[in-house]
Amino acid sequence: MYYDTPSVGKYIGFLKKNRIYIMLLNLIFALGAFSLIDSTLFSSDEGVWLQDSLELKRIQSKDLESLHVTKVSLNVANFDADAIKTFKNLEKSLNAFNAVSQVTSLLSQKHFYNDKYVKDSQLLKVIETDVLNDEELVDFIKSFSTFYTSFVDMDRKKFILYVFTKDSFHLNDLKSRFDIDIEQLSSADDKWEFLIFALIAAFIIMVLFSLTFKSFAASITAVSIIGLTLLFSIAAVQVFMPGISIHIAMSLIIVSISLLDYLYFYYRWHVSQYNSNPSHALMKCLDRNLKPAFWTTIITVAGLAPLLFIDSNVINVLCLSAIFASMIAYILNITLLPAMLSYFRIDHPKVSYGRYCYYFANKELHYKRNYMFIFVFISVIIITFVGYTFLTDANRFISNHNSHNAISFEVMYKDLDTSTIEALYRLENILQRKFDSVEHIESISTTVDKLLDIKKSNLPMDETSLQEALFFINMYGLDVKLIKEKSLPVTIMLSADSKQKADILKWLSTYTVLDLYFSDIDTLVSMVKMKNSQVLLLTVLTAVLIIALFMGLIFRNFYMVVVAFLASTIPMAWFSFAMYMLNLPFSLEVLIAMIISLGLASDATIHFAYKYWRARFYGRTKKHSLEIVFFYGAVPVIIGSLVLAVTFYALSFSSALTLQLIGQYSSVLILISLAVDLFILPVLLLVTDKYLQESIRNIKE
Amino acid sequence: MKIHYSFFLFFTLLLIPLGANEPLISRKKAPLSVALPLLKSIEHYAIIVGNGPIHMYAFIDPVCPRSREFVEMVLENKKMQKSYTYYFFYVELTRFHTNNIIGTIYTEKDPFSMMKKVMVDKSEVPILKEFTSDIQIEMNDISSVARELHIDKRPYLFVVKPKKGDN
Repeated sequence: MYYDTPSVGKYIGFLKKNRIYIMLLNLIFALGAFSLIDSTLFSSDEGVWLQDSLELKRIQSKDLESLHVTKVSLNVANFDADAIKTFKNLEKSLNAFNAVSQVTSLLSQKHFYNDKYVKDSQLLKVIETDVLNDEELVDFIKSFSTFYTSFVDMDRKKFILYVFTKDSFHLNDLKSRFDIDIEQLSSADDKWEFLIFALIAAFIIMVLFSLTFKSFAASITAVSIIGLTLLFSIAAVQVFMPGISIHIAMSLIIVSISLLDYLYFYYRWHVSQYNSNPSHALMKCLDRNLKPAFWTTIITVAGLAPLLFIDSNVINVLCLSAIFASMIAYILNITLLPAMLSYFRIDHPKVSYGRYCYYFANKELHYKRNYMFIFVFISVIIITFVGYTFLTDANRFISNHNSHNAISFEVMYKDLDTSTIEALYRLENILQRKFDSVEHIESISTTVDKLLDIKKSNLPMDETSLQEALFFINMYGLDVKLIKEKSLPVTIMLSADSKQKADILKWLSTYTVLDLYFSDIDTLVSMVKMKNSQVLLLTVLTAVLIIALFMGLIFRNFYMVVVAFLASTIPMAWFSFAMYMLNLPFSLEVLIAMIISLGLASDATIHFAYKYWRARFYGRTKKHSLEIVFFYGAVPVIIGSLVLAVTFYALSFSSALTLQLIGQYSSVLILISLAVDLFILPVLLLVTDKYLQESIRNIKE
Repeated sequence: MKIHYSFFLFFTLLLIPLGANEPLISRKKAPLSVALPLLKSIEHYAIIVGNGPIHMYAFIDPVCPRSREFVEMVLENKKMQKSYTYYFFYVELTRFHTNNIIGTIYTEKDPFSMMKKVMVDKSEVPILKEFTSDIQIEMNDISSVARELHIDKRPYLFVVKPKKGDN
């Protein structure tokens, strides 16, 4: 229970005596773990998601080819001859890549026309945009911009190119030569980039810890504990789930869990040297943190373990990594950390901004009850609203905006006749009527429509006219990209600000009239993410409830269930509400960020509650108890949250869009979570004080 | 050349919207059920190019610039000769007065080479003024089918994809 103080004297004696062996043992384990890790299974994005993709399996069963689509936007000052030159150079540079199998842009368009001034000919002709010179292309854009809005954005002054590649690869090298924006959902697994980010993260942690604690003990032990937790957790996940790709985001969860766990231990050791010797500080570091840290581990395991039964490798890996990180960080913090710390001594243990804790404690002690209840009331309404909206309108909430605005799929066909073209035309027609953000569809049926004007001629189509259209399509070489041996490729381009991609994918996946196969990797990944988003949202909700119930069990008090529930849901609910109001879709990246923030919030709740209840149990006043909470609990949370926010924000510079988003969302959520920990959680503990007193009376009796 | 192309593009761009209400490929053609027996009846007169599974019947005029462009595109494109079998029929466009050239081509032992000479190489060839009755019948038969099918353009195309099981 929170009022017991474990006796750790003998244990510390043992650790000190064997500290060199403990460190050596960890080094040996680290080497072993390093050799166990299969780096080929460590992936930045698509590899991880695609292992859950049933659609990919369908494609493979039909021997269809899956491609990556990358949207590249070239920014220009004006649509003049100079801009055209740059545009042509960019297209040429893209085509020069071996990996690029096709570039779809204004330059790949063939504009059909027939000589209306020569009325006695049936010969259709084309303007091939790639043979027009710069001035002619400027004229062409001016005359036909409305036909090619997917490739020329007149308002934003952009040329848009869709690059189809067999494998995922980086286009970032072109950024130095062209003013381009690249929208690439999946990127090549760049192990070097990951290594550089890991080193930068380690460097940021070392620098920030050195500055905060003015000691090398913090930076050295932090990097050791966090690094080893990362290494051991990854190895453990790979042992338990062999052959399964591991997402890099997993390492973010591990780092955040281990960093905060570590900080509670280290900080206590550091500040305890203010009025006692390092040996006594070591004792305090352990006896004050052994229990709350153990409970946080138990809560993580209990909250996430049920999710291991979900049939999704991605979710299993994420949950397993959080469970292992929590357990391994705990073991390292009570073995390796004291062993390492026993070598250090802090001469100036004062943490300069510790005095602000007393200021906060005083302010919050005199909180305005009405304001507090109004805030909690509004938060409960928001939590209810978010929950209700999710249950009734999940589509509005769950979607994937983490991708470019193109969808590629292939339609299987037996015979290229009127029925096939009509069926495809009908599908495209429904799509365009149902989803107003469908800007352009590139397919055999849209091209036939350009020639025959199917709508005006009315269905059914005339076989002779179709064959004539197909003749010109073949004659001008359009068949290469529009007709495959067994399938007809279709690419849907959505408007730049479209938010309907998820809905379109859902609608297409239930369309049974045609045999459809999503062929671009990015769409396949989007579909798996959408599916997993729903499961992961339920995961987060389940974890919140389990954590809240465990808090009630640990403190044997129902009100702690309410406190834990509010402390962990308020940051997520406000964040979700803001996203809803801003009409931002709820992507998987947000959910991963939420898991990280949930982990931090539950840790903080346990440590805060433990410290507050313990202080009150031993007869401290409310004010003194709150000061203890702030001094021993809030400072590590502030340091840890700020370090994590900065480190995660560094991910915004990653080339992978997923990592950029996880980094940005996590930073924001960590800061919201920190604000709740500092301003709401202590006040909630004060509100529960009277129930706590009853509980303390019962225990003492 | 550049100026020429620019003018061409300018006029094309100008004229395309004028025809925007009309589909690029007109449906106002004789239905295949009517056209195909007639086309088959003159198939043996055709100059045949390619050996593809899909049949294209093309009515052309030897000096019409669009017909020449079309023949040139077909002869240059080997891939299209594998996908299509072209049956070329000559029918005069009255404003060109090409009956004698047509008769000359049909009179040649190798009408295909003559067609190439006249339409692709644009060579001067001696034009006959009188033809044998066979050639006359041949030209008349083709013209009569063209009239029946209301063939008013050159090239005028019928694309026929044989149904499975058809020869």
